[in-house]
Amino acid sequence: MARKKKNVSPYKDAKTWKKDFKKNGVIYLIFLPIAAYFIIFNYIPMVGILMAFENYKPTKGLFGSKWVGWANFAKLFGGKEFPRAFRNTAIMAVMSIALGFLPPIILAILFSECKPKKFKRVTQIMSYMPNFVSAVVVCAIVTEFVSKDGPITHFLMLFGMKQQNLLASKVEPVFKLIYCLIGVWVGFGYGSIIYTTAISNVNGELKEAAALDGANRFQRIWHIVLPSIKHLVIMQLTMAVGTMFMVGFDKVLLLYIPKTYEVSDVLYTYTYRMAFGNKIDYGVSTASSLFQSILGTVLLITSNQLSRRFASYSLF
Amino acid sequence: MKKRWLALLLALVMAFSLAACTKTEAEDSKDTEAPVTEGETKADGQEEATTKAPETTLEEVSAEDVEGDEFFGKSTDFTAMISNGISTNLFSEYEDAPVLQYNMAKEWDPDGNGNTRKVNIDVWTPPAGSESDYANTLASTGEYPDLMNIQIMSMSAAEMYEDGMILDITDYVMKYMPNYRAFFERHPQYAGRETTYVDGERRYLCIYRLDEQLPGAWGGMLYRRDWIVKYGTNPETGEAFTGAWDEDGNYTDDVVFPSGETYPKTVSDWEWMLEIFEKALAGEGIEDGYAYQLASSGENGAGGDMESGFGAANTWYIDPESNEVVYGGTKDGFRSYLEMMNNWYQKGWVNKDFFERAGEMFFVIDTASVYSGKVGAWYGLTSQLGNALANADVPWMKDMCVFAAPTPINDVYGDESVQGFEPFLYYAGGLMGAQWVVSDKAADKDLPALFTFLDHFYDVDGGALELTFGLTKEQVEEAKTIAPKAYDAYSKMGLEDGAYWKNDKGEFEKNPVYYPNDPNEIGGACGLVRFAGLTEETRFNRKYLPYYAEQMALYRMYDATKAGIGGEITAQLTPDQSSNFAEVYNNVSTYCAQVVPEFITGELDIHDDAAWEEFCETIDSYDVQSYCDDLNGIINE
Repeated sequence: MARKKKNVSPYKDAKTWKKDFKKNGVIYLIFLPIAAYFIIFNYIPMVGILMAFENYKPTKGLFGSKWVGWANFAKLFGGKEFPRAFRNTAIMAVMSIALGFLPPIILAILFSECKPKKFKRVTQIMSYMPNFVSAVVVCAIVTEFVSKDGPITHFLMLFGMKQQNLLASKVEPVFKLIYCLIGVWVGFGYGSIIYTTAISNVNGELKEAAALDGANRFQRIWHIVLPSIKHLVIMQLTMAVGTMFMVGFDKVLLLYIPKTYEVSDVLYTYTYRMAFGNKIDYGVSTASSLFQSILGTVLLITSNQLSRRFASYSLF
Repeated sequence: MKKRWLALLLALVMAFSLAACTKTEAEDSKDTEAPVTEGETKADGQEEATTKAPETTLEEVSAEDVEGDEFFGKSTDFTAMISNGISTNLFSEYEDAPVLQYNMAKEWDPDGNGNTRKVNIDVWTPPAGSESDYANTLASTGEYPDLMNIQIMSMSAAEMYEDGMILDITDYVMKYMPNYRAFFERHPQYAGRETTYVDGERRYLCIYRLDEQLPGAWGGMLYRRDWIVKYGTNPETGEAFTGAWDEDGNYTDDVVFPSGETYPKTVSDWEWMLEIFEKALAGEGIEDGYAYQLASSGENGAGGDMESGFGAANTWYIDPESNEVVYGGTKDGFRSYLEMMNNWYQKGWVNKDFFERAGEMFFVIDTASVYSGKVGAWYGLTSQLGNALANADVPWMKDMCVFAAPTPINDVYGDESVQGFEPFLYYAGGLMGAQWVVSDKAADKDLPALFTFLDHFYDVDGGALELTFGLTKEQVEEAKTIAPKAYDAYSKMGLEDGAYWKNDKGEFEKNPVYYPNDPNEIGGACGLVRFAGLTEETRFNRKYLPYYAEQMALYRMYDATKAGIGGEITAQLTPDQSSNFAEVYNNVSTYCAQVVPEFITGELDIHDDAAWEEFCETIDSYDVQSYCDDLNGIINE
């Protein structure tokens, strides 16, 4: 009776770490700087989490500052504006994913289907450019465009909207929509690069064969291109869900005004005012970051589980 | 298995980094050391002051506590952090400032026994725009200098002292800073504010930058005087006004306000004036202008401007009647102020989009409109006074003349209880300015020499003049040999005859090279404006033109020094009180920034008692009273 073949790793032959290192030494060497990067910049700074539980004083350091337990979290969650900031963050996070996730994929498909090379290159560069413009400049442009006399405002007035500064509007979801559309404009070109690369690796023969069988362009995209990049899309979505609560602090801070706090204040801006207003409060700001990190981790694990269950693919 | 090993490795990395952050043995031993008894110094030379506060009164802290000669031979090289640099192309490092160079070249004898030594200061200047980041990073990394201006830091002197970051300098101030202490004898209203309570004893934790008199105003309310002349009429006779510039550059007119004054004294004067501006805007065909410019917060100035004439201000202040610290945002006077602003807004006098300009500082709101002559009254800079903004190419700016206006007295809104108040709070500052501390880094250096050096700049007839104006002709001559860098800089500035001299009346006059205008910005370069010391301008002849002198006097016609809560008071807050204030202040300012503009625009009805009550209740719920209590405790002490 033939023994059942186990699904073993191709690296199983290297029985020990030593042997594996000898065999793949170069690869380990290449990995070394990456590992060092993550250890130095991602793991060692995690010690700073302690600040969330301390009345942190720079002069006393992490281990000399007074331990206050959950007091910083109580201060953070106890603020009257916390529920409002949390609600706005959640809505803006969901809107950002809903509006911002598909455009890069669509753009990548459009680029892959675009035949004139010159036109393709120019449009690709144009779509990447907003990503390299600083948030301050982007927000200044947007502020002008949606101001009382801005071109977008005048355009919308053609549809009956009254003349107004859209960023000063407390009507839902005007501010949130502006914020999310900025994100789409800035990121959809740059975000399409990874999909464009993935699509370029799709076997061209499959598409040719499908075309010979009578599949039109849409059918080729639907049945060949999209399934080919499915895993990448799921991975990107999982990652996006994991970081969705990190709603852009800089853009909101630059765009919001006290009048619109009700609809625009997010966790980062709320924390900023609380921790860096009249006096720097390292404890509260660390507590806020830790809270958002934990939330992000929970969302990441959840979306990964969901993706494993419904799409039979997961990151880990 | 590999994953487990990797996880273990990463956990070890974290553990190592945790261990690396622990205190050194020396620090540990410092924490557990027995308290040092009075008079002892630690092995490293650092004075332990926390537990040895003398039981005598401040005046009885005698000079015997410090033996100056014990320090002789120790390092006299000090580092100092200033709050910000100055705009000049004469030198790039502030230690090259001529006055500093000149004094660093001189010999100092703290104890008068012939043990002379020079003091050398290496100045650290924070990068422009990130001063606070720079200073706080120094504090957090422990790499701070010997001497610091803590104006740009997020910690108070009391907190720094509690953390062991700065020294108790009482003994040194008492023995080596007679000029500094003399200021508080000349200005008894400030006596006591220069010290901090530590364990029930008044101690010097910092020294202050001081002004012999309130500095000239840099900003305030301004208005278009030429529009009143052109579009207004005498409220009594109905005759047109006349006004003109004379050959000497002085401006005269016959404008009279309804109160009978030549300036807008009351709220009714202001409303009369704003009506004229409304006519002027229409008359000049300016469609996008407005009569009164309001800051995004709904309040001009930095607390009290345009408000304290209602008997209240939306901030914390010392109430002139009760002499107690109060929060005025929930008082009837502030409600009446909001009623006035709401009325002005409804009449179309106020810039409609004021609440959208949250990113602009209160003294530079919508500068495009101001500089294009489309605003009637605004909070601006004194450099805009007179014909500074006149522009012959713009029809409505040809004869532009800007005058100053003090905070008005309310005589229109509310009942008698909020009317007739002489303004008591506006942006004016006080005589005590930035605080300078000496850090523990200087503990084993020659502190008597440092304090003697610093005290020189508080000498009202000596170093204070150097700090304020610069070097005299004789000093420039002396610098030629002892401080060539200082002499070179003065030569480049064209100040070989000195920066100032005394005239026949005994007044000080600045060298005309940089007076009255200072296009080359040498005013800051020839003195020592960024250092600790005393500014002495009381005997300075400013040579103002009569009309300009009148305007500057209007900004100082009411006393705002008694009601304002200066840094010298807040510096005495304990760390817990300071944290509490930060929380209360953040909550109140965030709430007011949202609601005050809504009362002004009418989104919330200021006449509706329920809406006002809700506003007051919310403010009270932030525990504004706790900060009042903390400050009253300090003041009463």
